[in-house]
Amino acid sequence: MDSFSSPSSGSSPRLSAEDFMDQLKTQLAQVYAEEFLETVRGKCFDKCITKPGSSLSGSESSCISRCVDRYIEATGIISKALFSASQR
Amino acid sequence: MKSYREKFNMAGFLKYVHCISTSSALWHLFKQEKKKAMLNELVSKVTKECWDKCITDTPGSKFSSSESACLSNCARRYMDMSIIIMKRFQSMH
Repeated sequence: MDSFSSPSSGSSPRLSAEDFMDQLKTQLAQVYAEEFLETVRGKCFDKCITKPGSSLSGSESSCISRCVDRYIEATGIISKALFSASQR
Repeated sequence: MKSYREKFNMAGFLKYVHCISTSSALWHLFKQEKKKAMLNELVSKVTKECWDKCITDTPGSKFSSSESACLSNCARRYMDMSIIIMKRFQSMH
């Protein structure tokens, strides 16, 4: 199968097309995960830490946990609504 | 908010594009990943907007039926709106 190396340096190891696609998918997944975490941090900070105190209260901590769960759930609901062809 | 092009760049792969284009099988796979990245971005953007519109109280241990209906409706109305905008824009020529 095809293989190729970085255009900028001839000394780097050659990648098979399969390895290339695996690496691409892995690295994209990592970028998506980091961005998702950044989003969840922002949203849950807004919702749960309204008046920052000298430490995180019990209600703030449990709010954060619930918020993460709900945000993940919301992502699923939106995903389904956008891509489910049977919905009208 | 990073676009899918930035995501591909962050994954360090945009520099390989001219190499990939010489292999049609690989180019096809690469375009599939690009399409997935665009869809991921759409879901991400719509979820952010609809979360703000629909989840007004402190998050609970589950969504109320009105909250989940709002999220679902919000996503569909967003798509309806996108179509209107596109048609309107196209009719301006």
